[in-house]
Amino acid sequence: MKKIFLMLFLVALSTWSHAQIDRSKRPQPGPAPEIKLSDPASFELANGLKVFVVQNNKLPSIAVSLVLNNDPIMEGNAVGYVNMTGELIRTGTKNKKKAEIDAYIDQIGASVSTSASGFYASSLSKYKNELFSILSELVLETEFRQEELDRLKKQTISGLQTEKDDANAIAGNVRKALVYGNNHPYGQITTEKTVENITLELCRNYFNTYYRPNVGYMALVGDINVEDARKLVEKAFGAWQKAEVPKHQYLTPAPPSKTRVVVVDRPVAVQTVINIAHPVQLKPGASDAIAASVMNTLLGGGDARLFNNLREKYGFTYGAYSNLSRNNLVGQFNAYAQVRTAVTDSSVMQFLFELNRVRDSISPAKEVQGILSYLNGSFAIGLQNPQTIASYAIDIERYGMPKDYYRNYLKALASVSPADVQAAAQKYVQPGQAYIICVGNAKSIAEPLAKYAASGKVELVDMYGNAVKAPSKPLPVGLTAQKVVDNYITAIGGLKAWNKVKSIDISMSASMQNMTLAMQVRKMRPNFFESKMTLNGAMVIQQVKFDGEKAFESGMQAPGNKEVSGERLAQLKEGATMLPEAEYGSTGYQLNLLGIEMVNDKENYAIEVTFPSGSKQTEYYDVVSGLKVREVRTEDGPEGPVAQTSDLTDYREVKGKILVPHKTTIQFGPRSLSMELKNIEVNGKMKAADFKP
Amino acid sequence: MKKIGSWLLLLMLAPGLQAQQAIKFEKYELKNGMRVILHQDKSTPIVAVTVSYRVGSKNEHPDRTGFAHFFEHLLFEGSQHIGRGEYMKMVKENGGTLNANTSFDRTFYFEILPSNQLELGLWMESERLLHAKIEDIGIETQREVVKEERRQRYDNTPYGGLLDETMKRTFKVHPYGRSIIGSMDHLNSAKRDEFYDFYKTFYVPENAVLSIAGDIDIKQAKIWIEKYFGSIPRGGRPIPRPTVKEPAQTAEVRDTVYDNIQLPAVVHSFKIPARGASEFYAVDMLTKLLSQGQSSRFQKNIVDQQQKALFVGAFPLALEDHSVALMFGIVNMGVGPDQLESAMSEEYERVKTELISEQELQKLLNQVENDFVSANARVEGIAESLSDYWMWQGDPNLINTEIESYRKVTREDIRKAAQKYLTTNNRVTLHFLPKPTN
Repeated sequence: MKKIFLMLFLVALSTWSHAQIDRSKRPQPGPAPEIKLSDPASFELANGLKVFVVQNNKLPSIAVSLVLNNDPIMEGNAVGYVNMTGELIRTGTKNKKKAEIDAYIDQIGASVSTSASGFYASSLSKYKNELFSILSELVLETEFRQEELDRLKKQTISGLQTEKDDANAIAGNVRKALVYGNNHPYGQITTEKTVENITLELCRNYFNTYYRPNVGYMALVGDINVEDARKLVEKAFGAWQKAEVPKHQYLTPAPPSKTRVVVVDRPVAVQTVINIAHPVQLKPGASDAIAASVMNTLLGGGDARLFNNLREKYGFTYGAYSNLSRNNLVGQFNAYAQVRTAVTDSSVMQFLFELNRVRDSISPAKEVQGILSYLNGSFAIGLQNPQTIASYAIDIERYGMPKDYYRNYLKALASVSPADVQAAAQKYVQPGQAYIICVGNAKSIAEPLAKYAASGKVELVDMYGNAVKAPSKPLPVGLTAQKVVDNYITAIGGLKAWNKVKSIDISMSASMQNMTLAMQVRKMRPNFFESKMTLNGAMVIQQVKFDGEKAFESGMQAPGNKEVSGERLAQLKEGATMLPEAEYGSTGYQLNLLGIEMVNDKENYAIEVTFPSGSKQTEYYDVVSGLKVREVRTEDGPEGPVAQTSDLTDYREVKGKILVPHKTTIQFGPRSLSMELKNIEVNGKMKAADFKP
Repeated sequence: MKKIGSWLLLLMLAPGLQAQQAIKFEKYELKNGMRVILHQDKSTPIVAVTVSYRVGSKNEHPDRTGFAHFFEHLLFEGSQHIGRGEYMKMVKENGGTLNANTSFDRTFYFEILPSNQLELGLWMESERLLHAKIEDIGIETQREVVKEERRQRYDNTPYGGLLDETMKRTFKVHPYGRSIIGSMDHLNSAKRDEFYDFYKTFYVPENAVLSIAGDIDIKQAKIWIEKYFGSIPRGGRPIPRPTVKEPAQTAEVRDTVYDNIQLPAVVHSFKIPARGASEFYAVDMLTKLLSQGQSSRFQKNIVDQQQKALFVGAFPLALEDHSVALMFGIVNMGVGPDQLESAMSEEYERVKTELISEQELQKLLNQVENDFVSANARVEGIAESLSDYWMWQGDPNLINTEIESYRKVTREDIRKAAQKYLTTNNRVTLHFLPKPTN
């Protein structure tokens, strides 16, 4: 009882106090805190290495970073070797192999990563001597070993393999290739082929030429004072030899004269990756660099215009952003999102709407003020990390910025006006001279995107940005789809020969990731059909039997013996006849001659076949040989339509004077499976009972 | 957990690490049951305001999975006094950043603001707790956004479905077996009332920890906290918490998953003790032995020497009811998943039979110490650690003292942990293979 009273009292009390405050009033901020930015201490070694020290004793740890100010280089046919040089540095010294280096670093709980443009390392400050000792050994007693290069190459190639399924990686490659072009180092793409060409010699040369103290900036941050820092650096890196480092100049990549739409086909995609990008000339410390960053934050920062439009207003995406990179050679503007396939066109439209809006109309002062406050706060939050202070000092040196650039940053930021923002947008956002890159299901997305291209055409490219060849010739006058199919039947031996085929038994096999996949297809007239897929000769993945009326499915993908019904049954019926193409002229079928399209660099007649069951398939018949070389079927997956492509090659004559493809390559998105015909038996013994479950 | 009246403020001073100053903090409880924790750090003029709600995917109804994560989205939609779409904007326009995340056990919201905006942060979080807008328009929009999140993170990303596939086989009974992002069908069929009920049940002061770290005036902070949170009534509804325990596994679970990937992957998941359990520390160190740093056994033996994997790692998922040690490897090109799996199993066997060296133990302790120090590099990290320690282990001061539990672990403890938990019977094994064809 007492408890209940207490509760009532508490409820009353809270209601009472609840009434006391006016929650509708948003609290006002207190006086703005002063943001202090101290200059780091700095000194230079005799070999030209410039060193900055930011002491901060909050945590008992220390971080050391090195930045080498080198121009990027062209890597020829061995793209990737500069990066690999950076990785190799951590894998060997004259006295230590990789395992010993790893053991040393882990033993003190430290972390060390190296790259071609420097290193980053951190540890507890009580182990700073050990940390500097290993860093010194890595840089001064470097030894590159073949076994480590081989290992890195193998790993890089495996990594590239996984990227083939990564739509963002594909978009990144294409963007590099288009925005910077192949005459600029930023446009170089690492592929399996270029990795194969990397040699130890290339890496050694790069290291010896470019990894030098006189182009280096080092920062020591954390629990260390200047005196100790000087002693440590002098001892570790005083003997590092300086040398002349070559400089390189490149033609600055220009934006396209008119906007181009570029599509990479990824038939399995459930989303489209959209990138709208072009090169920009924006150097660090440029007079309008701060206004440009305000503009980009307003347009494409977190919870900014792009995000609010595409995500919060329309729910097209999990996030839409833009990025404006500053760079001494050439920077880049990129607006990007991942959107579901069906709204690709609408999303591009909203992107362009926002890109034009920030240029064409002056942004409301209140909105700009909000961004200024946000960037002001971000600056303070950034200072929490002492590394920031060091990197500011390095930027000033490296890019020749005014000494007080960051000290004046907040003042300069506060003075950015809506007019400055618009001017920056007009200079750095060029929707009329951009690449609209979309990686997704081309069949669904390409056509509606054509209107955004100045040429009115969508360019299809591969995952490295190379054009996929387009068709050239118009269709011959009088050609019909039925004629193309008839030509095909003639090409594979003619109807007469095929009518003599009463049964057929085909065995195919493929190897995949160390496994052997076997496929057997058996057919008997009028329409008995069986297919069986086996893994490693034992495990039945899927078996389908059709006796002309009913079909049953079993195996790992369909445990038990399930009866097939509905649409799939109808499709089975259509495929079960001895030569399905011979039925294409029958009632219920619809053929549509789409035009000439390229398949594997050859011209083909493309025909859309609609089956009586309603399912559709696009088929490609070689213009010269008449043979069918490809079938593409789109199926409804749980996340939308998914395309499956079968390429039919290596037609050979078999018993009965008929031609049969001996190789079938099934492509499911970026994965493919090549099946070789191992055995074919024409008119072997079969009986109807074989096709009963 | 100790009960502390709101009038009794405890100043917690604890012996810390050798060099690091102990993290000082104050903790107390409001009359409505909300727990508050304050840490002052004046080195940068910023403050992290965080609220952690003890509701995660494990509290969901089996037919309504994805609710906890959905709320993480919904509760940025606005409140009685904050218009739709204003929540994020308000933080940003005041120089701050914000975000949130959802786990199996809890949902965590935070803002990092200039220190003169502490009151704003408190007001905003109190709006979220007291009267967030649960409206159709917000629900509809966030449903679409969550579907895109799912497509982006799970369906359009190689190996994106890995955690879901693993957890559903690891937990047959316990709700940890259900996906955090949940079922889109469940979200589609949920009615507005159900969202409202969920909010009224879990988003209540007695189910929350408010943790603040940064450049604050403690006295002023307390006044504002009382003003904005002290007056919020208790929810009072019973808060459903799963009591079901996952029965011990008696035989290995093995399965194959086909995914849109190029290279096969192998997953082993082992059930291990809950976070805070004394044995957890030994298992945690065991996972570091296997995969932290390039000299770790997985990295050194499987990636570098045998070159069977592109990547292989061991990840402890520290959870309230049962933790999981997740081992995950992607094969190198030309290597089969069986080969990688046997290489991983060899490492388990080795640590079960051979005692690790004194030197290895020292290495692990150095790594643990380094991890503790790095976790405290930012105010938001400190606020989150304090909050988590209080919520799960009843003592925020573990931020200073938990390292002692690691120091007590012996070489024998690590071997024992391997023998007890890295067993075939306690294991779920999954092979991820590229989808052959449709």
